[in-house]
Amino acid sequence: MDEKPAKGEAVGRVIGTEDSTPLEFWAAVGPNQFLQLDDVVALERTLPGGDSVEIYGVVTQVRARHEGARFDSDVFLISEGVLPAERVEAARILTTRYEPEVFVPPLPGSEVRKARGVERERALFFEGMTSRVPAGLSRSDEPFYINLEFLDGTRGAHVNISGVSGVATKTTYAMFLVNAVFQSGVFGVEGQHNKALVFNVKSEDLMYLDQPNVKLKPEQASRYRSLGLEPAAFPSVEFWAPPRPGDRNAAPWTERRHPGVGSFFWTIHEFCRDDLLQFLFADVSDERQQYPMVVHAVMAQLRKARKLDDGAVVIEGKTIHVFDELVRFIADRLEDEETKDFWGGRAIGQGTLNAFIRRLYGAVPHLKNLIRSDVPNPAAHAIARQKQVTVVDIHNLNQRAQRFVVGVVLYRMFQTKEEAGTRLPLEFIVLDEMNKYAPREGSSPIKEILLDVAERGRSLGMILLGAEQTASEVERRIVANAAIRVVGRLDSAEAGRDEYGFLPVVQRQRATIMKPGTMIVSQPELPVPMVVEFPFPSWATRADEAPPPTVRGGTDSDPFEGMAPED
Amino acid sequence: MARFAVESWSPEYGSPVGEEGQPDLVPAAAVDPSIELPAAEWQPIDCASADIATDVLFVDGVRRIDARLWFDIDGRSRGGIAASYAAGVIRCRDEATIEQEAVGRGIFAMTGAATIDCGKVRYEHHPTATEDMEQLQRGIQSEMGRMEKDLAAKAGPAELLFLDGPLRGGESIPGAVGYIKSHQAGYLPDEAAGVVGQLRPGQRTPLFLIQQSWSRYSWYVRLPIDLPGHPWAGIARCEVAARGTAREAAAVANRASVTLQRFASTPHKDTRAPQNLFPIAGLENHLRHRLGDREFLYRQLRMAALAGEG
Repeated sequence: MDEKPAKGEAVGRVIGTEDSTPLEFWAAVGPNQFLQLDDVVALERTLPGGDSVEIYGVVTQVRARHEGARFDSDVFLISEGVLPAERVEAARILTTRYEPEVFVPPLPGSEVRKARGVERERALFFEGMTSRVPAGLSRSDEPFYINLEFLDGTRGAHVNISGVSGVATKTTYAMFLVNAVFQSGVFGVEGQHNKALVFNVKSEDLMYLDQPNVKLKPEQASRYRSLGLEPAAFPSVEFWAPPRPGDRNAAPWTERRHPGVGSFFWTIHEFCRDDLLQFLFADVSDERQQYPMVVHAVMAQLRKARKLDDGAVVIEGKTIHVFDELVRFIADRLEDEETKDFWGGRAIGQGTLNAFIRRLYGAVPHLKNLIRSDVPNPAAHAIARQKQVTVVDIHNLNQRAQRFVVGVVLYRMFQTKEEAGTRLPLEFIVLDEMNKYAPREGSSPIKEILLDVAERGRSLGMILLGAEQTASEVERRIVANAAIRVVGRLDSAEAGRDEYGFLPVVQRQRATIMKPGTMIVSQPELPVPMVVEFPFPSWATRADEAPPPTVRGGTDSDPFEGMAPED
Repeated sequence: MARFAVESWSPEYGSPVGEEGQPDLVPAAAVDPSIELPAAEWQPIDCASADIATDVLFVDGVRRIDARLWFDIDGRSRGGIAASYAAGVIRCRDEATIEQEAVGRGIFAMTGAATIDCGKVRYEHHPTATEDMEQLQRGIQSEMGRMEKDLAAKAGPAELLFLDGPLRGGESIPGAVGYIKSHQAGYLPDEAAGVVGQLRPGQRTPLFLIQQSWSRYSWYVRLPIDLPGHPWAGIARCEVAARGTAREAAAVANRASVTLQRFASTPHKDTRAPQNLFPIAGLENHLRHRLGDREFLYRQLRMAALAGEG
């Protein structure tokens, strides 16, 4: 072991009136000292034989009492100066580390120190992390790291973030982590090719990632610097929004942000060739019906479609340019007695076929903008992924269309990664509202993909940063596969559920009162989850946080981008 | 180290041989009730006009017998006790703070016994004249009294100083008001004693002079009490050394009587309410705690005895 770390100041002593155990003990706080929640402490115990054990821990509870008072009302006598009493504070400490691992209880009377600098790094295992990512700050602005090996797939992967919408700032934290990974240079040269795919599910929160946040105050900026990060926007971002309904040129459907946003859709040919039909039936309730059999039969027929130059197809002699034509075509085939068995599969009841057709028609209004071959140069509308970060905006879409987009994008990415067969470069996927895509009950094609990512993505270099309001509503295997668990503000009923069993009781209570910008982060090496704060985003999250357009106008923004080029 | 053995009976049972300790009874004394008012004209005196003291000291001590011991002195077995005692001074100003405190441990036995060092604790030998239990108890009392006096001297001045228990003549703290909450001796002639029953909270009896080996002025005072019970409910007796004039003593009595009202305890918090004053109860609790764990000390003494055997 290297030399002993410098010692912090003494703050108190282990008490003998509560059990002192190797996992948990109490320390009384000395006069003119204080310990607050999340403080990191260190102490020693000398074993018979002279060997010394270093013990480290984190304060998870602090209490103050009047000693000498027996009744609640004694407090009045004490404050009137009639009854003598002493105020005493004590802190409950959960141990994080024993060095060496001789699990003996800290002895009552032992001096407890605040761990700072190297001692704090030892307490939180930071010093043993070969590469680490800043993941936030303590209350006193000391950096908190997570071990990259548990994020990049070396020893574990994936992050799962739970918390109430609005106050838990889940996606902001996910983006903070992505930013930290990209900026920290932990991957060296290879890291330049790492990418992130972000789904924007709520308002246009993530549509300004490339803009610096003008509301970032200098003290917040300095918090970034104390983590070794530059308070900056994401340098390389591409934005994709669905085409505006009714717009013949398929201009992107955005409200505030226009420059630099492209519109995305898939051609009829891609839809047929790549079996995208299954993602129209991605609702969990669909799986319970007999649709899947019909879906697979129809997909098999669609695969035979011949491609035209503009992405349209010819199937059985019929040219199809738009989605409703395709739907009508499929419906005709399924309703025709002669072709029914061929297209729908044998021994499928008419009821099932009708239900399938009904749902297929139901999808038309929501998906006709996303599956089409009526716009020139469709290649310009494929999500290109040329930049480091790709934002796919789905917040304007209805749920069915959202599922379709998420399903298709992830499916293709998974296929690409699987074919490439290498872990690097890494793909970070940020997806909120996991409960919609991988609900606990039932199964669907999207859930299968997310499960694949969760279970095999680690070796494929696909890192899922999933978020949801309530982890209890998300598929267990997905949550369980996340090496890093993060909890923001929870409602109290949710905080009591088994999914949060990794949090000590006090932290569960605390999760119900946490402010935006505060998270509880659990990582495999550290037995106690840590409460961390992360700085205000250094990229804009709303139009009014971005610099005014005049300043913004750079080479990046082409006012005609998104418009279809004229023939 | 002198050879000694620890009595196997638990100390609170006393000892199967020898006498029980006797309480410190004050013998019937010559009492002069006509100091402030003639005995025939006795009536309650209202002290409400006196200033309430805002800086008050209370001095108290606690003692405990940790073990009864048998010393082998000149071939004879002689009884003795190992006792822990503590004293403290509490100042009630804006806050009630324990200003001074000390703990002592002693062996009270005849000459020939010795100090016992148990390693972690040490019992100092204080020789007594006989092995009589009363003598031994008196030995503890006098060590504790000395401790109280020293601590009171260190505590510095205050407007009033109450000592829990009777004063002890020249050994007492100068200027102290003795505060006695139990009444073992009837000092007053019958015609005057009736006035005690008439006292309302905050009132006191006229002064009376008690002349024993030394003289002191004394009076009875009634403390606040919710439910009037028997005539002596909530009555405490105070005394001051008869050094100054009766007029000076009366001024102290007025001030002490009105000040005491504030510190009286309430029945649901103290079984000896109201006489067991809050600060004194708090101090006693604290001091008893400082005496340490008796089981632990008892074991230490037995281990020391065994070590002495070997």
